[in-house]
Amino acid sequence: MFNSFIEFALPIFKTISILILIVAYLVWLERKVAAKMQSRVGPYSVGYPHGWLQPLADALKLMTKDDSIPKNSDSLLFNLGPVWIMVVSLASFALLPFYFNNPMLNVDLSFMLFIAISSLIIIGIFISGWSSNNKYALISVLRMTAQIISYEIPLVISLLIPCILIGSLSFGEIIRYQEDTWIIFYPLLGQLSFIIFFISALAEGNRIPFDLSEAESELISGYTTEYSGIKFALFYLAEYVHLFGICVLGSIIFFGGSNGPFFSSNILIVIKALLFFTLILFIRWSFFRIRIDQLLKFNWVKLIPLSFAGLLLACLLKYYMDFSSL
Amino acid sequence: MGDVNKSLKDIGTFMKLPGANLFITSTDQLFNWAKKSSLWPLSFGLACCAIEMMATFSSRYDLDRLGMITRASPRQADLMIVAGTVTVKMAERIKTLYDQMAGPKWVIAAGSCAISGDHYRHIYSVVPGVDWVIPVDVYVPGCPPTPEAFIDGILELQNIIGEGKTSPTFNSSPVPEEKTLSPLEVTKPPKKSKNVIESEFIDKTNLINHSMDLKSQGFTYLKFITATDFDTNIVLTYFLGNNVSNKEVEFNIKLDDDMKVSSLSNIYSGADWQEREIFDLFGIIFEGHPNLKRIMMPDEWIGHPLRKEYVMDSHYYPYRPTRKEYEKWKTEL
Repeated sequence: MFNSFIEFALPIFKTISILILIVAYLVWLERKVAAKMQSRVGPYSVGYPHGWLQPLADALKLMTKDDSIPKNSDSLLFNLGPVWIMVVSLASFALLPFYFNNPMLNVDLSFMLFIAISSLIIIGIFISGWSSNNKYALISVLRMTAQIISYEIPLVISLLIPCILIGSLSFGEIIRYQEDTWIIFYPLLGQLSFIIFFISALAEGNRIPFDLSEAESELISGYTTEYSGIKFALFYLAEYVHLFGICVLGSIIFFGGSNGPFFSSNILIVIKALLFFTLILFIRWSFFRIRIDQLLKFNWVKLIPLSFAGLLLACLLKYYMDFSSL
Repeated sequence: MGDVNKSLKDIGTFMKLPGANLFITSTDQLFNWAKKSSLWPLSFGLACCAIEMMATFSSRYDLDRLGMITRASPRQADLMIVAGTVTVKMAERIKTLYDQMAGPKWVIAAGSCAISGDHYRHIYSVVPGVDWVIPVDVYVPGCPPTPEAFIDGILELQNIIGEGKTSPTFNSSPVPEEKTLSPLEVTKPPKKSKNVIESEFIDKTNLINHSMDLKSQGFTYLKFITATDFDTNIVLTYFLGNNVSNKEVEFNIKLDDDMKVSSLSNIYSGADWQEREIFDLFGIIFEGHPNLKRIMMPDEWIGHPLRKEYVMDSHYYPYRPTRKEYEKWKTEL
């Protein structure tokens, strides 16, 4: 009984600790890249080479902060919010083959399940913003719900295009298919779906052209305004875990996952995801923020028709190829 | 805070265990290191010192080297840098922000205005030192302090935190005996000053008709309204502009004893705020104004600061909240 519990819990523990470690250093990486782009130095004096202890110091400090709950808020929902977001964003990693040879949960529809789990995040964000009893949090949450629900559509459809070309919804199949050529090199459809995916990934991860929910100049710090201490740390980590999950998804579906030019290993998934994350950072620190109506109009008028056109093209191509091979 | 006595008792029983002291000291050191290594300041500035503070945060000096990033929400901030002159109206906001910050929290008073009020110390609307209102840990002198001074102050604060000391200091100098004068007691002998205004004077009963005439002639833009106190009388000056022919016109009204004049806000909606300002600072009542309230001074303010009889240079001053009143405010915490 105890052994079976260990067998069950050990991979989860391992994955979560590796993940938290990666994500803590993603924050450090972001601060360093931001500093480089603004010709600064970034974290330097906390820990000898280049402030490498900075994430540890931040985490320990946030643990020692007071925990404040607003007076007239719904304290059950207020406490549930950060936990919900953290659990959901960690749970989606059960499906991704990013550290072990096999994902912890090996199902045929792993891609669909990943999308389904990670879209639950908006519920956690909504309850935390609503229960904060703060007008900035509420406005931020309303914006964010509109944004995430609309950008989920092009995200899923742009990822369905490679899935249709490959003919499978499981990550194992998708990686195996790309042993010869990656999907990003697939003529026209590969690049089209990647661009749509990239734009909607920025919106999903709340990064800068679309970071309306945390617009500092208008909304203090969005739905996290009333959170202090360890709950804020959970939000902060969960945001990066979610974003890293999207990066891993992109590296699996478009960049061949564990297939490399010289060797094949699961570490390549992480390396590609980190490169993809750095690309998002470059966008984050050089662009401006757009307005909510422009954001939604861009999505419904341009991105969704484009993604449906791509989907139709992929279906026709697949049908023609299947038909001709008979 | 919880029940302090009970938690102290818990610590007492815990301390009897072998090795407890060693454990507590080493974890304390670890947490103190963490607190001093990631001081997140509130992004908040008051006056010119804040410009220097921004310079300290940006490229050349870069406080991110020390692990400092600004947070906009007071719940997530550890450090408040009070950079600039603290006015009476702002003192309440500073107090609110300080109360909203989650502890442990620290305060740096940056610049001579935040430390002592500096040369604005005696002015009617300035609090002489932010330590009248909130406890301060580190004082950074300068007018404004250079970025180097800011960094020095932050390093000093880091030393304080690293040694586990807490030094929150309210202003602890003895509260001086304050003469409490009623506003009526304060009188100044009137000085004779010459009325130097040369442009057209109109009668104040004629104001509405006159400005209606001018508006129909194309003077649709009210550039400003201002008031001047000549001791014996107050002169209101109106300045109108014609945007088509690019002409300007100026006319004055003399107010002797009766400080009442009809409002122009129905004709020029731009007059609304300017008349409120003149009411606030000179006490002239504009009849027919939709919302004649104070615009700059707090609502409960006594007197009108730009009037000649208003005493500006007294330290014991009947209008400004006194040190004693702030002391009361502190104990209410």
